[in-house]
Amino acid sequence: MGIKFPSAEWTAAFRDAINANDGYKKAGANWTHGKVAYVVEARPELGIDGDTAMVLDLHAGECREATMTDGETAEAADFVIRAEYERWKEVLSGEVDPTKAMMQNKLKLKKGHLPTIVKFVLASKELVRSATNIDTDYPA
Amino acid sequence: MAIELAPGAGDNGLATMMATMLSQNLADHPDRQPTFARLGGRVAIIAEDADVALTMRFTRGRAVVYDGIVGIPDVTVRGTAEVIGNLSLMETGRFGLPDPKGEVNRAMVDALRSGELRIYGLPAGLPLLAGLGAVLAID
Repeated sequence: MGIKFPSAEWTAAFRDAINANDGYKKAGANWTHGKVAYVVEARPELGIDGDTAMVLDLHAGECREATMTDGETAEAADFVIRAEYERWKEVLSGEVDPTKAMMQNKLKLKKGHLPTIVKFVLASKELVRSATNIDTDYPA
Repeated sequence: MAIELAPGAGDNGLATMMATMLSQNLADHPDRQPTFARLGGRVAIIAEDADVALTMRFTRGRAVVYDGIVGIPDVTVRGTAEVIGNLSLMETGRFGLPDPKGEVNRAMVDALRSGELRIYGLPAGLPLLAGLGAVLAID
């Protein structure tokens, strides 16, 4: 039995997985641009009653903190990426590349400086790669 | 300078990204505005594995980004999403031209050789493509 996504437990496991990923440590070494929020849009039928977010406090190749919060609170992050639950499942399980998902409008950058995200595209991929190392239980 | 998304292009992630990149890069680098103002013609970009395409129409200081291929492009760039995504990361050298020693540029040359990246409309479209690359470049 894996860790349910999204949940506070999964968010903590994500932080640990990021910090255990040497690829992220290297690719994100120059990241000093603030917090990144992944917002999962509400899906009540799957038990996700409201917009749910994982806010990652990333700095210099490290995830200093990861917190689960609601979508509105997550808007305070420097970068906000939103998607439907199924899209996050595809990306965080490694099934779909995050760059491709953005081009397909499956992941939407709702807040933040796009050139910075593009500059750190490798770091973004490593973040996602970190998630694939978590034994995750995706509902439905 | 005006950058617009054509009706219907708002649901195309690549088109939205490209319009945002143009706007934010020009805001960050006002020195690139003369280069942008000189651009004229149509550039189509196709991310084949993402099944998404756009056309950018430049008319002297104005750009409109369309969903799909619209009109007859002067330059067409086809490649994988990853290669297309790296286009903004190409290193610029002297005279605003691509730096042949750049790591991303060398990967692009490899992608051109392997067919992972294909560019149509050269050499006539080179000034348009080089100008666009200079505007979109990320430091």
